[in-house]
Amino acid sequence: MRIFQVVALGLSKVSASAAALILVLMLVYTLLEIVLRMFNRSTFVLEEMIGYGVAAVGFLGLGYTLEQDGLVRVRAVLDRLGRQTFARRVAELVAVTLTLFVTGVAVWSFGAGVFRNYLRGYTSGTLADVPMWIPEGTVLFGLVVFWIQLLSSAVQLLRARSGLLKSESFTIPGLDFLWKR
Amino acid sequence: MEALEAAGLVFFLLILYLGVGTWIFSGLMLVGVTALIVTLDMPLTRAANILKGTMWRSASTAELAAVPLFIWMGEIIFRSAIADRLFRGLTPWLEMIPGRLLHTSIGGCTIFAALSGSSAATTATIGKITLDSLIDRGYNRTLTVGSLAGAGTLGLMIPPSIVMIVYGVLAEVSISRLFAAGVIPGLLIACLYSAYIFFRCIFVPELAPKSAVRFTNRDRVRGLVEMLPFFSLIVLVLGSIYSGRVTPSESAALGVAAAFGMTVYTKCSIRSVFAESIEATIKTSCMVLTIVAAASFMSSAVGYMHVPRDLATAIGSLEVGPYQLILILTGFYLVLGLFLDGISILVMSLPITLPLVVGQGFDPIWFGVFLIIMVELAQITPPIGFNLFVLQGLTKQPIGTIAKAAFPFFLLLCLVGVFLTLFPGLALWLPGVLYG
Repeated sequence: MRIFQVVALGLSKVSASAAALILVLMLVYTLLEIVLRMFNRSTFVLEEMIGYGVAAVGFLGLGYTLEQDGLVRVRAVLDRLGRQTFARRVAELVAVTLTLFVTGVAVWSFGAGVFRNYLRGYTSGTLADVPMWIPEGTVLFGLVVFWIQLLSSAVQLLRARSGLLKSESFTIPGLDFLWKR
Repeated sequence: MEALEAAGLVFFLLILYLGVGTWIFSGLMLVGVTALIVTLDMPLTRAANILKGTMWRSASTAELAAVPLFIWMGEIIFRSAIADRLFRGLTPWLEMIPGRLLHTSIGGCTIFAALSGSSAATTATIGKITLDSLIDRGYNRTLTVGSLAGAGTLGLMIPPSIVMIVYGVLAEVSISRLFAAGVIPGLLIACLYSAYIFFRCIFVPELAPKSAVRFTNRDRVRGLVEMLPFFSLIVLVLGSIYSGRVTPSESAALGVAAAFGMTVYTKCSIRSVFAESIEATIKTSCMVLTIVAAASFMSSAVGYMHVPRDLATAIGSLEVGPYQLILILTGFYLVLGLFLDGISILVMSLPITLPLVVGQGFDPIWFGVFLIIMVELAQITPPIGFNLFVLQGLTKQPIGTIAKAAFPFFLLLCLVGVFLTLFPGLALWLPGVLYG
């Protein structure tokens, strides 16, 4: 079981690093386009590529963000159930199961879409003519990694080594080091 | 009645799913899927297809690129010793006004808000330096904490603003116009906060004790020089947007590049700033972008149920006047704001409230600014208010104490909401001048 957790975390980290790389590429590309515009030139596909980039950034880091407790949720009810009680664990499991279900639906529909795009060779039909399975595939990959990471957290929860929650109150994404200090 | 029942069902599902503690983005997806299956008898496969279609369309909206890029810019500046410089720069200018250094929180937050899109980041950055400095100098603790909680929310109103980008994408209005619309209300809020401090300190001077240090004009000029890099960055980012030559995403990219330049200038380690800032950016961006994608899906599910149209017709037949509607919505948002954070409130209510408000003749740009005030209020109302959490982290005081300190500023924000409703020009004048 431990191996599963290590693999899940590893996948989340790799996926988040890909998101970071894509963000850097988006930055460089946007700056390049601004410079090109000064000379009345353009690559003409900035908007399309940036659109794919932002979708990838949004979903590829999802698993890692979950693991780092950076996704917002309402904890008003959960916190009333105590930290290590049976009721709390049941409530957490309900939340996890519901999320596994609905993101499972998303994985399934994105998976079917990516598969169809790949088999039929659908492209974006723009100047760049990007095969659509690639950009949609990044979202699918991010969702799959999130699903695996969530399952891994659920397994940890069932074994009751540690809760899904690392802190008693909210953590503000990106600012959690304020507390760690 | 059917419209009200359907809207009631959506609301019930939201409370149910979010209440059990699902993550906001998955909760919104669950609401959409359940609503489609239960009310329209839709097979799961079809609901899944709609989910994929709408989520992909909204996740791959190019305008949304401004979200991670502006977050990144804020994260870089957050790590580049900006707060010390702002504090040093503002001190000689504000020491002579009643309220003295209490105004550094307001001024610092206003300036930082023009460089960052988030309220929590604004509060944390400025709070890190002003809280200890002021309390050590004997300033009143309640007023110090309260003013910071209130001023931190300026991060949302003064452009660039992440919440405004999200609103612009979902409501399909120009983000540049929204960025212009937030300027005057943002400055008005800052002025009101400062005026409140000013008058309180005139009557009770002990709230802001005099310091032994005397500042000369030379110190003031030196202060301006300290702050020059930030002013240049603000001019670069906002000026480029308002000039109409670049899109908000492009100006964010310029901002990130310039912020890295400033990191070099302030002699911070660029390597650690890069690594830390990009990690924080990915985490915050994921949270925001997935919520936006899920909200679009929920919004289209609600659209399939004809809720917005039917509800607008139902409200229309009740002959509720425009101001009554705004009053009802304010109450609704204040209650939501107790339990939810800003972006969540905005995205989950928008599919229903926007058509209602626009149907009553309000400008969607104006409504965007109005919503930002509602979101700002949500940041400082307990039990769930991000600014309160940040200040709890910084001061180690209980949430209740901080919320009480922030209460006068909560009332001042409400007052700005009233002004904005009575004088819509506060929000609409500047975009009109800039963009016609």
